[in-house]
Amino acid sequence: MVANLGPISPTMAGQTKVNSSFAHNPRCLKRDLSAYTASSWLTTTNLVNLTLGNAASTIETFQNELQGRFPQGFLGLHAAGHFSIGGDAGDLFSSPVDPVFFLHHAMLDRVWWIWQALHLSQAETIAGTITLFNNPPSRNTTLEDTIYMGQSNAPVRPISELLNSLGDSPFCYIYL
Amino acid sequence: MALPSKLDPTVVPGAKSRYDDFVAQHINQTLTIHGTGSFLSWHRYFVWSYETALREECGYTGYQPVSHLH
Repeated sequence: MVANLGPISPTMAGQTKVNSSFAHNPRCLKRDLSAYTASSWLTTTNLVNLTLGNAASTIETFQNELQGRFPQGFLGLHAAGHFSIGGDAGDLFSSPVDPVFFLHHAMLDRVWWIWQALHLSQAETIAGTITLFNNPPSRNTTLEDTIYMGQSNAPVRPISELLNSLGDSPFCYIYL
Repeated sequence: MALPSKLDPTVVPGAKSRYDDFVAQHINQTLTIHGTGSFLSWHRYFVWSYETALREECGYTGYQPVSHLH
């Protein structure tokens, strides 16, 4: 299939980044499957730790374990999912050019949903700041902060409305 | 993939289809939606919006499939 946007921050040898973020750069989608990445971090042990183990104690520990602790060389389910597909899927910016992005993030959302179901009193809590890994240091994200989607089916909403998959405004779903 | 982009082509020349509109949105906001407090809720809304567009604009009658990681 043809990818039109990206790469912005390529992680696969042979890929050249575009000059501007929204340039038209039609090319065949690339993947670079990594069994090593998958077997190292896409594990049942990791999943159990996230939902029931030590990493599950707060939304902060859950989120950090899910996203990865890179200084410790731990990729976590999120990054490992991207890098086990590799190629365009490993680009922080343009990873959605590969439709597997949506299957992967649906799974991550499901893991969060499971954590929420197992920790109901904390289900609507958030943690983190408004900058990437708090670099440069910034204020904490709040429930009143808004999420912008730029899609007509998804108007601007505060985070508080996007935490409950059964909140009905807008979500009404469960995972089977 | 078949429906044309709704974005302004002078601003986002790389967006040709509705699918690209979602990619462009992720590119545009990358630095504030990863490693942040909004990571989980942004991506939840993003996948939901994509699934909704598939159903309401493209006539897809299913749901977003989930890839099991374990």
